[in-house]
Order: sequence, then C-alpha cells, then structure tokens
Amino acid sequence: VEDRTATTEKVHAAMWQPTNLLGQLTVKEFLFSNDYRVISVKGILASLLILALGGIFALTFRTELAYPDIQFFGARTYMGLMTLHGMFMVFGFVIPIVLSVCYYLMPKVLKTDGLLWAGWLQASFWTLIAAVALLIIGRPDFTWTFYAPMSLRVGGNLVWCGYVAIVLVAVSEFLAGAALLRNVFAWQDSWKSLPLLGWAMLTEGGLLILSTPALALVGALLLTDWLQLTAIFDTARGGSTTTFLWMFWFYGHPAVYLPLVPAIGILYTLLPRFLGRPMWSRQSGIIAFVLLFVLSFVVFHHHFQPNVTRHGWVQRFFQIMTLLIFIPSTLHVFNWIASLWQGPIPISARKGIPFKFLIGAIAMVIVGGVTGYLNAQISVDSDFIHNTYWVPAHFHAMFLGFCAQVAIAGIYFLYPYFTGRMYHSGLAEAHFWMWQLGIFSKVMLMYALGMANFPRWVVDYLPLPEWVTAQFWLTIAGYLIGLGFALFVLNVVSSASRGRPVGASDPWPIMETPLPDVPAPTPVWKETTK
Amino acid sequence: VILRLWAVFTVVIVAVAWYLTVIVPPVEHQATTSRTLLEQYRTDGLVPEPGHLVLSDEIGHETFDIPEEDAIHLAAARRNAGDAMEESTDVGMTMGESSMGEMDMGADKMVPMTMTELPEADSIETATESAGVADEDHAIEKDHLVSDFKEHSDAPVVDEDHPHEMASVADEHGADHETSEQESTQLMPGLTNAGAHSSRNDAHHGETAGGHGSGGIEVGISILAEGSSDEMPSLIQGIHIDHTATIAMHEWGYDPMSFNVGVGDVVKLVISHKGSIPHEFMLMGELGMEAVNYRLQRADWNLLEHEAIFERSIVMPGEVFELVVKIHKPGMYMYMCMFPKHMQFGMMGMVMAGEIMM
Repeated sequence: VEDRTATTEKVHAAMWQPTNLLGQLTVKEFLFSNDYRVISVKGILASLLILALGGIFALTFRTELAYPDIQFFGARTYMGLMTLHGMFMVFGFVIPIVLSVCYYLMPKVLKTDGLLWAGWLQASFWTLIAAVALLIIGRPDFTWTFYAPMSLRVGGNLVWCGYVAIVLVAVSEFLAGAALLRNVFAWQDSWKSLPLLGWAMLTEGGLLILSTPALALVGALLLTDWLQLTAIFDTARGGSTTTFLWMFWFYGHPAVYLPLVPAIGILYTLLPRFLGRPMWSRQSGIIAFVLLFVLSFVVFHHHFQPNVTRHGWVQRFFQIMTLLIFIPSTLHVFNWIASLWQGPIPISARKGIPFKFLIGAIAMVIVGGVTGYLNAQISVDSDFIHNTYWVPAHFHAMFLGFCAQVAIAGIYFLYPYFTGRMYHSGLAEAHFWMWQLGIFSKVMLMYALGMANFPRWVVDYLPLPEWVTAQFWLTIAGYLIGLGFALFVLNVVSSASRGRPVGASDPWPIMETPLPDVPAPTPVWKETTK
Repeated sequence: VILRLWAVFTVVIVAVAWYLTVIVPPVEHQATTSRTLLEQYRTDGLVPEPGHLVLSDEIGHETFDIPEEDAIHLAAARRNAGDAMEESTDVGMTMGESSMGEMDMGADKMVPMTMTELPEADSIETATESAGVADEDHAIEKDHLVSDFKEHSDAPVVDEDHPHEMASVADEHGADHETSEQESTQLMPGLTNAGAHSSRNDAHHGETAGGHGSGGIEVGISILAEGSSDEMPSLIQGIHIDHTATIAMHEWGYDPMSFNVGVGDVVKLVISHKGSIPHEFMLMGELGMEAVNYRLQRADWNLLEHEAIFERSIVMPGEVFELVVKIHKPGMYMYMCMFPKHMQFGMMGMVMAGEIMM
C-alpha cells in the first residue's frame, strides 16, 4: 500500500523549505495574519503560554501536597488552582497545541499550501484567548468539570466569567472543527488516497462540531441558571443534575479524544517521515479513526458511572462500548509498533529529538491504555477507582504522556521551519529525559496512590505512609517536568538566534549510517555558535 | 523578536495569574439556594405552617391523606408483622415517632402524620380528644386501632415513677393541648407496658430507648439496660438473665449471624467490636424494617431518621458494651450496621424469637 505521507516532502520540497518565519514577521502580522503558518505558530506559542500557566499552578499545589497538613494555602486557593490547571491544560493547552501543529502539517500533507476558512481559525484562536482571560479574571473554583449544582453555588460574584469562558471554549472549538472539515472536504483526489492526517482531521472535525454544541449549551444554561432565569440544573429549584451529567459528558467523552485524534494524526505523519518508509497499514488506521469516531459518542456514561446508577443494561451497554474502544486504540498502537518493527530504524531518527518524543509518547499511551482496561470495568471502577488518583493517573498518561509529547515532538520537528535554525540538541536531550523520567514516575505514583485509595480534589490528607511517600516523590516528579519545560522554553527562545542555521536544505535528512563527511543531523551547539 | 516578546509576555502573564490566584484568591463563597421547591410549595399553600399539624384545618385536604397504595403497603406491613399487630393493641405499634414533629426541617413537618404508622396519628388524635379540643373532621384516617386503643386505655399500666418519659411526651404533644400528665401516659401503653418490667432502671432506659431522637420502643422487645461490662452488674440488679449472647462485629459481618431466643426471656447481649473501622449497632423489629423499606420507596422521606429499638451510632474498634433486652413477642428482630454499604456488605444478623425459631 502506497503511503503518500511518506513521500510528501519529496514531492513538495518547495513547500517544506525551512524559513525564518518568526524573524520576518512583524508583531501585527503575527497577531492577525491569516497565513496558516502564522496561525499555527501563534497557536503553538499561545498554547505553550497556557501550559506555563497550568504548569505553574500544578507545581504550586503540588508543593502544598508534598506533605500532609496545610502549609501554604487552604482549600479555596487549592480548588481555584486545580480548576484553572484542569481548564487551562484541557481547553487551553492540549487540544489547541495538537491542533496548531496540525494547522501547519495539514496544508503540506494535503498539498494545498493554505488553509481555507483561515479567518474562522483566527476567530477560534482569539475566542480561546478571551476564554483564558475570563478564567484568569474569574478564578472559579468549580473544578474543570463544573458539576451543577455545585458550580452554581461556589465561585462568588465573578463566577459568570467561568460560564462565559465555557461557552467561548465551545465556540472556539466549533469554529476550529468547521474549518478542519472544510479543508478536508476540499480534498480533490479519491478518498482512498487521503493521507492518514487527513482522516485524523476528518474525525477531529466531526467530533468537534458534533460535541461542542452540548458544551456551549451547558455553559449557557449554567449562566441562565445562575442568573435565575432558568432552573435546568439547579436542583433546589427543580432542576436536574442528571441532565447536567448527560449533557456535559456528551461533550466530555468526545472531548478527551479531541487532543488524542490530532496527536495520532501527527504521529502518522512524523513516524514515516523519520523512518523513511510508509506506515505498516493505512487501512487499519482509517478503520481505527472511523471506529474511534463512532464509539466516542456512546461511552460517556463511564465518566459518572458510580454517581448515577442506571438500569443494568444501560450500564452494561456503556461498559461494553467502553471496552470496544480497545479495538481502534489497539489498531493504532500496533500499526505504529509494526511500522517500527518492519525495518531498521535510521540512525538519523534514533538521534532525532522529535522521534525520541514519539517513541516516549507511544510508550506512555500503552501505559495509559492498558491500565485503562481497569477503568472501563463497572465493578472495579465503582469500588476502587472512581474519584481516586487512578483516574488522573490515567488521563495524565494519555494527555501529558501521549498528546503533549506528540505535540512537543511536532514542535521540535517544525522548529527549523519556523526559525530557519536548529534547536540546541543538548538542551533538547535534557528536556527529553527529564520528561520521560518525570512523566513516567508521576503517572506511576498517581496509579500507586489510586490503588491506595487516595481521593482526588483534596488539599490535605492523612499522614499514611503509603500516601506521604508517594505524594512527596510525585511533587519531585512534577518539578522535574517543570524543569524540563523551562529548558524547552529556553531552547526555543535562544536557539532562534543562536541555533545552527539549516539553510534551504532538508533539516531532517534520513541517514542509515553516520557518514564522516556528512554533518551530523543534530550538531552540538557550541560548534555552531562560534 | 517575537519569541522574546512571547517569553517576556509569558512570564508576565504567569506572574499576574499566579498573584491573582494564590496571593489574592477570591473569598470562599457558598451561595445558599435562593428559593427552594419547599418555599414555593409554602407559597402555594401546599405545606401548612409548622406547628399544629393535627389541629390545622389545612391538613384536612387530600394532600396529606395516605395514598391508596401506601395504605395497602401499610396493611401488608401489618400482616407481615403478624400476631403482634392483630391481637395486641395494648401495646400499640411505634410510639416514639412523635418526637419527629419537633424536627427542624420544614419539609419533614408533615411526616409524622402521613408517614405511617397509623396508631401514632390516632394516638395524637386521642390526645386531642381527651383534652377536649378534638375535631373528628380533622381525622386523617380512622382505624380499628383507635377503638382498640380506647378500650385499653381504660386500664393503663401507669407507673408514677416515670416522670422522664411522661415529660417527653407532654412536651411533644401536650404542651399545646394542655394534656395532663395522666392523659399523656395513657398515650403510651407500649412504653408503659414495656417499661413495667424494669421499673428500677427506667430513667436510664428511657434515655437509651429514645436515644437518637426518634426513640421507638417497639412491640415485642424492650431494652432493660445498656452499658459497659463494668456498669452492667449495678444496672441489672434484681433482673434475672436467662441467656447471654455474644455478638462480635467485624468487616463485614456479625458473628453469629443469627440466634434463637425464647419469648419472655431476658437476654444479655455482649457486643464487641473486633474490626478495624467504626461501626454501628442497631436493633430493629420487623415493623421498623418495614417502615424503613417503605420510606425508601418514598423519595421525599428518604432523609428521615429511622427508628430503631436500640441504636448505638458509633462503636469504635475494640469497644465492648452490653445490652439487656427482654423479649415479649415472638418474631424476628434484626441487628445491623447502617453505615453506608455496611449492611449490604453483610453486617447484619437476626434474632428469632418464639415459634418461628430457625
């Protein structure tokens, strides 16, 4: 089976010219240009900013959680930090960053060299920025899932900022989804030849436009309930919390695939690019995208399984559907493994930081996915897992371990195309290992705490030995991840002016063996800066 | 340039957001519910003002009648309760619920009358009759028990040594109706009958039986004494103990899960906590179980306290206490821990008395 994504850069070498894009842009162009490269790099930088915000918040409450008892702040501050951490990371970082990377890759992979409806993507970007600004102003403490009626009671006078931000997030995602679909449907060739990134974007667009109306409705109804115009969710006035759960999680379960699907698409694009050969199977990738799309809408009940007991067959249906998710996920993962397995891995890929991050991401998606088997069981979920650290462990493995790492791989890969220079490989190497160590130990410690029944959303806890030790090392792991991110930012900023210029040549040549007369793909920084 | 601007901007934004969130977080805020359904019902006149429920004209209308299916349910409960209910009205059913009327929550105000156990409503009625302010039109529902009760109230076993119990009854229903102490005593045949067996310890026993507010002394079994093994000898002076049963609680179960006693026996239960987390020890009669079951089916009554013959709401690990009970009627009595899920996990057991021994 021929894979066009593998040969895209050869066919369209002109499009893949590295340029100093960021150096040539004026600030005004950077902020308002509808060029897809600008929208992409702007989205990436904004997402990284939001990652910095969410990360600082995470490190702040991790510091508090390092020891039992209250050291620095109480529950209100903790809940505020936790809420903003969750909302920034989910809505502001992990979804936009993978989408932004795709905004750059898609026109090149689909050979359009431009995005249709780029104005809507621009609007999508600024809507999201407005939502983030509102969240910083409002500082709600209603958790990132804002369950009613709790979210109607807490938060104070500025809580409306949170509700409006929810609506804005939904609008932003809807616009992005519509634009993605528009660009995929502009594909002129046969559907059989649509690259896997295109299939990913098709899936993503469908998920976005079908699920986000529910989120917008939830945000709007929370606002009207809060203003006492309606009583949809407010139980004290005759509303229904079950309605809230079903509406929110109708968005919420597809939402957890919103970062996953583009990340898979990026992986399908970069993996052949580094291996120099097509993916093992295109067919299984397409089938998996379609299955993932369909199943993502019929599993959401598992998010609130133990809270709301339903008729046995309703529960069983959702459990079976949840378990069926293993089929598309496994199709994807085995496709990647088989692609890696079917031939030698070029030395250029082995030494390339983006490829390393891809491998780390595949490892973490296996960790998160295999343990997800336990989450999917109603009995295990109800009795042991629900509302313990097991759940954050699962989605941190997926969001941070997989989606964020694929996005970081994408950023390292695109770095020469944005700046015309190569990043500093030593710093990048340090970043890579800090993240692998940090993310793996963090996720594993969270799993361990989950098995020790450590509850979510607590600022203080009993000094049980199995909790104290794990929480302490979890904080250390968090700092490690934070340090890695700081190195990454330093690398991104400083290499733009001090990195090795890549010129017009392909910055990612595929080399089977290191040859003495060919410069190494990732030379040492000191040599280049002299 | 843009990357550097971005980095500076990031630092500034992070600093500002961190300052806003950590240094000057919004005040903790918990809004009260603005207008509850109950308030709406009050406005609509569906809920009478708290207080004189029995005497209020408001309650004559059908809102507070016992629904037909509930009446059937209650009848079934009575049948299940067996002889104790059919024959012996001298020991009414559950008397202790009267204190529910004092509960603070407006939503529950209606409950003591509708909920249930008709004898209680009837006895309130009887009280008002004897106080001379009764109005037959206000009757919620008439039942053969009323007349039965009246017959027996001619010859109550009145023990003048029961000021504690009478005071509580008088407080609850007598205050407004100026019911005399004597009359209020007549309301409590079950109490007086049950209490008559151990008049020495009555002050203590009244507290025990009514311990958590709902206080039911049910038909068939009465608590003679409760305390630690040290106190017990002084509490049970002059009482002949027929049997001693040892009950150990643990996660998850009671050991033994069931045992038999004879009618008329005085049984000492030695209850020890062999587990590792706090539990509860609760003793209930069949009718009490029915009442709980019945209420579970009525969503609006879920929050009500359940009545037990005896309840010790927290038993800590390692704790041992003793209970002396007298069995008056044949039937099934259950003991359980009603902490959430504990009973479902197996923390229950039963005492079979009389002919239906296992």
